Parts: sequence; C-alpha cells; structure tokens
Amino acid sequence: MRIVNIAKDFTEFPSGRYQENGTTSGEEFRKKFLVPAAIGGNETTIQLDGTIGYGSSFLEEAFGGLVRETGLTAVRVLELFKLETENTVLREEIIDYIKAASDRSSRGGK
Amino acid sequence: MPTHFSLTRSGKEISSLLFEIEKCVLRRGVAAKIDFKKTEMIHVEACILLFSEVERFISCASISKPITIIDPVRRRPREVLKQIGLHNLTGDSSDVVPERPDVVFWKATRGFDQSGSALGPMVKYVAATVNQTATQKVVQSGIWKGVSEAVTNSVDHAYKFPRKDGFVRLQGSRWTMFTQIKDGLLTIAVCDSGCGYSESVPKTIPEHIIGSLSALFTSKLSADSQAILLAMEYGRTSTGQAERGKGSRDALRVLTEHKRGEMFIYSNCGSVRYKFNEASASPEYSAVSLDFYVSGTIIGWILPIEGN
Repeated sequence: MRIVNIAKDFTEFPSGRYQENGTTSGEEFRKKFLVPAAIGGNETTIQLDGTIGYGSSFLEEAFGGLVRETGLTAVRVLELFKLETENTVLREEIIDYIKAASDRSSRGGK
Repeated sequence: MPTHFSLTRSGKEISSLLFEIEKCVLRRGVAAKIDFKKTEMIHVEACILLFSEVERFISCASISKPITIIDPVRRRPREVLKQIGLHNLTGDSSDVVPERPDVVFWKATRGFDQSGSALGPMVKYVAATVNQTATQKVVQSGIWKGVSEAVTNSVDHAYKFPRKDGFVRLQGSRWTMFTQIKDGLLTIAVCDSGCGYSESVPKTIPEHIIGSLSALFTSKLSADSQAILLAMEYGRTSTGQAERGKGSRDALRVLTEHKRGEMFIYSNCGSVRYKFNEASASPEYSAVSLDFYVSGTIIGWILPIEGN
C-alpha cells in the first residue's frame, strides 16, 4: 500500500480550494496524489497529521472533488484511501465530504 | 487624525481620512501626507484597514511617492507603525527600533492568493509563542481553519464582483493579516479591499436560502450587516448540503475550539460581533449598522490567553 504524508509530500500549510489560486490547494493535492491513485486502483494511506491544520475548502475540494472528478462512489473511495490521523473529528469531516459528494452525484447533481 | 486609532471609537474619522487620501492620491494624482503626530493608541482592526488601504493607494497610484507618513510623537504607536512595516510600504524611513513587549508581537503579512506558505509560518509562530507562555493554550489547527478560510473567501469572492462605490480597483486579489499578543489577548485579523459581503452574498448563496435565512434577522439592520449574518448562518447550517459556504463555519470554530473570546467582522457599512457564551457553549452575535464605511472586509478573532 502506498503512503502519502501530506506534511512531507505536499505541504505543511494546506490551504485554499483551486489550483489557480495557490500551490497548496485542495485541487492541487487531489490532482497530484488522489486522482492518479484512484485511476490506478492503488490502495493508498493518506497520513493527515503533521500539517498546521486544514480548512474546509481544501478538504472538500480534495476529497469531495475526487468523487466529482472520478465518479467513484463513497464506498469505493473509502476502500481505496485509508485516512490516518489521531484527530477523529478531522477524519469524520473528510468522510462527510466524500459521502455528500457521492450523494449529490447519485442524485444527478454536481 | 484621531488620537485613538480605533474603529469602535473613531471609525467615522478614520473612514473620512482614508476617503480623503483616496481622493487626493487616486483621483487628483496628488501626493498625501498622513500625520500621526497626535496618535496615542493604535488598535488592530483600524490598523489593518489603514495598512490595507495604504497598500491599495500605493498600488493603484500613478505618481511616484504617493504617501508620506509623519510618525507619532509617542513612542509606542511609533514602534507599532514600524513593526507592521508601514514605512516599508510608503518608502519612509524610521530609526525607531521596536522593543516594547506589547509591540514586538505585532506581526503583519500579506499575499495575493490562497497559498498557505504566506500565512502558515506566521500562524505557526504566533501559536507557538502563545503556547510557550500563556496559561490558556490555543488550538493551532483551529486558528488555521478560520484564518486560511478567511483568506480563501477573500480570494474566491471579494474581488470577483464589482463595487458600487466608485472604488479604484486593485489588479487581482490581495489580503493582509495581522496578529497581536497584548494584555493577555491574542488578536488575529484578515482584511481585504474587495466588494464586501453585501455584493458577494447574493451571487454565491442560492436565492431561496437567502429568503428563508433573512427571516431570522431584523430588517432594521443595514444590507451589509444582514449579508454578513446570512453568510455566517449559511455556513453554520449547510453542513453536507453543498460544497461551498463552510468558511463561515470555520471562522466560528476558532471560538468554539478556544471556548472563549470574540470574533468581529466589518464589511462596508456592516459590523457583526460574535462572543462565545460559556453557558450555552456557543457564540452569540450582536450586529450594528455603521455610520461610516469600511472599504472591504475585516474579519478578526480576539482570544483570551490568560486566566480562565
């Protein structure tokens, strides 16, 4: 299983939603790490601890955006990606974004 | 020039002063002097507005040295202006070396995008400083959530829509952040010179939601104050319902994670203040309509870090 440590492999200061607005954005992280792993069907551990923290825009665009971009279901995303953190609230927040994006997608929305 | 540079005490004077400088520098193309000689106290929310506006005037001016500052006679405000880098912005010199303990923890940074690299080191530094010395620690990740989302909102929304006030626009987005540790309080503020909540809210929140949420607030408030409240309420209640709008919830989480303190928002002629209520364990708001105009939006947090 591949391991991505966000603080070491991406940035200690994740922030923002879109690539066009900065290099530490959720979209940048998704395209660099999450989408390639999802397309390849590679199980990946995402280590979340060690950064300064996470804003909602970053998390939603990275993980909710993964569902929107790939069309994968929440179940499949959570099979592929193991979220590793001591912060259970953070983990739940990410799962909420994944499930909400999946729900909207299954209802035909974006 | 007011002796107390504070939006709560001298907002009208400060607003008029900035408007006069704008007229002078940007409309008439004449250099202006800002005379701080009589200034005794400088407060974060007024100072960040001044800094942000001076930067806008200089960025948009067509003359070579549009603004000169005349330093305060008093040592403390003189140190503050030096510490935040106002002289660097205007190109003036100052031989004062900030050394007062209530000045050296003023920090300023600014940026153009949502990259964490401009904000992150400062938030990390200030949280570490507080957590080494204060009796009540701060939650670094909670502060990051609020601050980084405030910047994200500024870049995403504040500069995408036009203003109605004849304001000379900046090219691209721009934000400023200040932090201050003083008198047992950590203050953090983010300011932009954008269009304000009343312009961006109708374009970013669905109309039917605006309709239903508007009923929660008194219509006696200015459109700006109502727009701030709408955005905050939308963020608070839209969990899982939409992919956008959660920045406002993140802003309030700074208070709920710290379990004390206040958050303030100024936007054009609106002002809303949230105070954490320990009995209900949630923030409660008070809103007013201002009799002066803030060019853009300021969002800030005041967190007690001493005692309980």
